[in-house]
Amino acid sequence: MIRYYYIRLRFLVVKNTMVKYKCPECDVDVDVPDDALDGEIVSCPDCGEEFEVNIRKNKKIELKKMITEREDWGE
Amino acid sequence: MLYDYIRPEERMLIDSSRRKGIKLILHKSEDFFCDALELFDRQEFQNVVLQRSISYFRSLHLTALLENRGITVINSSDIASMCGNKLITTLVLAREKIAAPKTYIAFNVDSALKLLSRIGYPAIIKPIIGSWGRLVAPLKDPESARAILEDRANMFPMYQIYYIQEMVQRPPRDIRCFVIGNEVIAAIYRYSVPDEWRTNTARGGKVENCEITSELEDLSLRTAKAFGDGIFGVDLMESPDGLLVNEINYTTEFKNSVSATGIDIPGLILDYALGRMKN
Repeated sequence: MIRYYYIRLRFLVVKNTMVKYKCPECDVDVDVPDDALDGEIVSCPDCGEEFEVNIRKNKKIELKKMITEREDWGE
Repeated sequence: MLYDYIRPEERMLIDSSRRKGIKLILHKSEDFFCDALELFDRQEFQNVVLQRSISYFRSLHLTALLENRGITVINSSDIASMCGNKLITTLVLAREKIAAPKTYIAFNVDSALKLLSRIGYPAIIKPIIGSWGRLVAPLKDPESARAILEDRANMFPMYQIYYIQEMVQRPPRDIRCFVIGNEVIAAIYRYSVPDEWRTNTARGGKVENCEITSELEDLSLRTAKAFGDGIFGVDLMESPDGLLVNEINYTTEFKNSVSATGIDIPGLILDYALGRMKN
């Protein structure tokens, strides 16, 4: 949720252009900034699910369900 | 900058670099491959690399490869290997006479139970490698301890190094102190939320600005210096006997701390990296 609000805030400040993608979980529109990077995390405003922006070779964007934790992940 | 995901922290670093006019080149760790001794294209990397990988093992090995080619990585593989392993961290802290929770080690279930009967309950078990409070468990009595230890006996061998600590009598919060180079730049209290004893923000812990007292500053700087020149999130506990250093984070997260403290942590990280580049 914090990530979502941060991302929303960033969009308000930086005024990125948004591209709408369908949430793979609940089919609601998910805004992805046009300067999103491969590996960027976006959240669905409806179900709260987090997705990784996956930029394929043909520049097509896919939203991949985010793996939230692995054994050696952390800070 | 090396990354696995663009989390809010990495996004803040990217945005900050744009504001500062710094050309930040991004490398996704997963995409990397090379000869072990020769990077295929040395020019791809600048002289200084900010390591923001989320995976400890990938980060450690990739950092070692880059360092072997003369690249300065922040934080270094030495720092990552010391801070990433709780037992090594404990040994470094002890060597520098830095106050820390009492720590014990055992290597199988029976030895761990004998140890616990000697030191008494409750205690805490932690994986030697891990973060975000993952698999950190209270050992409240012999029955629950046996169950938890036996679970670990069926996991990857790393989990059979039973790293056990005293349960420090602390308020329901701890302190995260941010050290960059020779400076303490910010500190936060991390409060555990209801039904959760761990204070990790990844577990929903709430944050609040913490005043940097001279005791906190001295202890955090001494701790950081024990590990090297770098960027650290030093975790401390307020025990009845004073501050204890609990853990040291070497790819510290800071998304909640920027709003709580008002300190431009990503900007200061980039300034520090630029300084290392000039040196």
